[in-house]
Amino acid sequence: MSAQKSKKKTHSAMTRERITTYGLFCLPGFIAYCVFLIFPILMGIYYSFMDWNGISKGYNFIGFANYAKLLTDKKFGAALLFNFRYTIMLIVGVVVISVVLALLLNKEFKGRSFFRTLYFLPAVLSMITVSLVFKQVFFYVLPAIGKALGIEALSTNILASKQNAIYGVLFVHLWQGVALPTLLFLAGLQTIPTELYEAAAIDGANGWQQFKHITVAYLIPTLSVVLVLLVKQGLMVFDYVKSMTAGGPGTATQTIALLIYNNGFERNRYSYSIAQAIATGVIIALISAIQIQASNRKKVD
Amino acid sequence: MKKVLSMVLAAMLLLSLCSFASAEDVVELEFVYHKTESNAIDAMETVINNFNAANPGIKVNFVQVPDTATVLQSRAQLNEMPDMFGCTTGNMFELMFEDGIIMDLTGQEFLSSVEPSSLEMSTYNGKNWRLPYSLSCYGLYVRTDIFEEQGLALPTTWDELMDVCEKLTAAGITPFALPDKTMVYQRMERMMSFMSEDDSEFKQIAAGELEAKDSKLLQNYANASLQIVNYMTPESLGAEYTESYQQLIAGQAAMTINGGWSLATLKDYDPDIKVALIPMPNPTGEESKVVVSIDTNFCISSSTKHPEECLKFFEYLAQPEVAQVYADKEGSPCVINGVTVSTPELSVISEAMAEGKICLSQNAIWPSGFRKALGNVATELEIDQDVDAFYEGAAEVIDEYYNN
Repeated sequence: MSAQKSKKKTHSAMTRERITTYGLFCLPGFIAYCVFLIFPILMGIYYSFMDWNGISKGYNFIGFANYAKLLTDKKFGAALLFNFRYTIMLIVGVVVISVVLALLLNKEFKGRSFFRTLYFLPAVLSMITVSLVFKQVFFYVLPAIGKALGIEALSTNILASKQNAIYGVLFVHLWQGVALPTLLFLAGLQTIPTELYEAAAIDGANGWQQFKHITVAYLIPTLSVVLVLLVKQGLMVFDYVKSMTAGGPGTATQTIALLIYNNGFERNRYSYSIAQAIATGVIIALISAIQIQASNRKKVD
Repeated sequence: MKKVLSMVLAAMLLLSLCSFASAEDVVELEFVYHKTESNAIDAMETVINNFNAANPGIKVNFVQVPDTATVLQSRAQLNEMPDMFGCTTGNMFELMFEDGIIMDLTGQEFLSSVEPSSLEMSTYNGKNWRLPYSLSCYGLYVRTDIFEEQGLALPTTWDELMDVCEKLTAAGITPFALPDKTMVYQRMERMMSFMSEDDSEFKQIAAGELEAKDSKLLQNYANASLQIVNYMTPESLGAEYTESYQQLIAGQAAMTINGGWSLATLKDYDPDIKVALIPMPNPTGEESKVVVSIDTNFCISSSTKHPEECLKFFEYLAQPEVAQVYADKEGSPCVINGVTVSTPELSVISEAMAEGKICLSQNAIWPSGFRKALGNVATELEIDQDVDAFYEGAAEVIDEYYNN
């Protein structure tokens, strides 16, 4: 009896010890998470109920006025719409291109590792550098090519066109943005057991059927991660737009992130810009949650 | 062993602390400078180095960042303002004045060296919060060599300007290269500044007393803008400062519209460029005025731990000999008494300014962020050439910014 009791005691003592150890190991991360993420978010929520201009030491509580204003803000609506349009095109573009690239790079051919490195290269460059380089390409190079080939749409700077500027930004984003998803899909492809393809081939499945039922099914978890990343990138796009079009021409490429920045730093409406940021954060969280749910249901276990 | 090691480490720590303590005999001051042009940076650094050499007890540290306004705003939030900084004019700084972030300089002896009308322009709520230093002027850059070749005189009225444009076009030269991808707002604001006394028409529109389409100012601006669009390089709508400079230098256009600050960069790119900055003709037919803004002011933060040393530096800055050193390198008209600037490219515009044909940029009285918002509408006018959409867009922006 007493032996059992003491055993129990040591067991619980060990658990307690383990919890303390785990707790201690988690603590630095937890503190960093709180200080750099949770605390700023709470501060943001606090300030979004104020009328702070970003400079004054004094500010007043104005309740939900900033959020109420959001609902009638045409610019916010327009920016949101732009971001949705942009995100959808970004997702389609990145997923299609990176899956195709991953499939090609997964094949056995000479110089495979060279091409793998080549396609990954854009990911290591800074977004601003890439944007500034492409800005020059769009100004000097592309119109010259367009003129030489007699293509009307390309013979002027596409960043200066209200209709086409979005495609200019999107092109650069795709150029750089497909690198990482390609790598992820490539890793995903390598987890598929080759026996599955062999079995399917024996059962008479053609290439498309194999791709649809084996490859795609195995890529769903990767796809789910890539989608979350892309939704976030698309809805928060800032660097590319700020450095290539600055939201222009006019307001043709005004994104939410740019609007938030301008409200905060150019118009000194800090609280309002924080309210916009929080609303955007909630929207992204909702979309991501729905999307993770949806892709979890399709996952192969 | 461990003990010995820890003792050594502790001793080293103490020693390093001691060395910090001895460094504190020299008062270090942080000076954040707002201008980004290479000649301006050179001018400010030279002045600061001279001051440091003459004042062994004080060390002013020169800091230059690309976007000072954003940096200063963030640092104001953190209560970590630099001891001193340079700034343009604008609503953000007025918020800082109101909030007591900036030291009140009213009554300081050195302010008497500032040319009185500029000092008057730089007051806010009747007080002096800044030491105004140099002016920027905005106007029309002409390639004098192209004008000479074509036998053209410098235009002084809008009709003359349009005539020059016609003649240049006939000779196969595009009149304007403009940075209209991003900078329409600036030209719009400077042109509106000399086309109207103040922003009373905007206030009337905001109050619903005037329709945007009946506003003389908006009408005049829209007409002038559409005329300019006819004469600019096709690349202008996609160009920023740099590209417009390059087109002017390459002779792809004979004129550009920009501020005095561009001259240094133009000369950086091409030291032999033949240009002159002249007053922008007034499309309303009235007298042309040079739009100026006090583009360099110096402020002291009220939170500085060394106000006396900061004031000593400002006294130094306000001396005519020092300002002359700055102005010689920087090139813009200086508002410190007794300083003369003889930049040949600016001689025509300086003459007009000396005759008193100047007015203040209205950005100083417009609501914060308004010029960029209205600038977006003005950019769309250039792209779509739809005047009705311009009035509609302008009315919306005016309502948004003036009724808030």
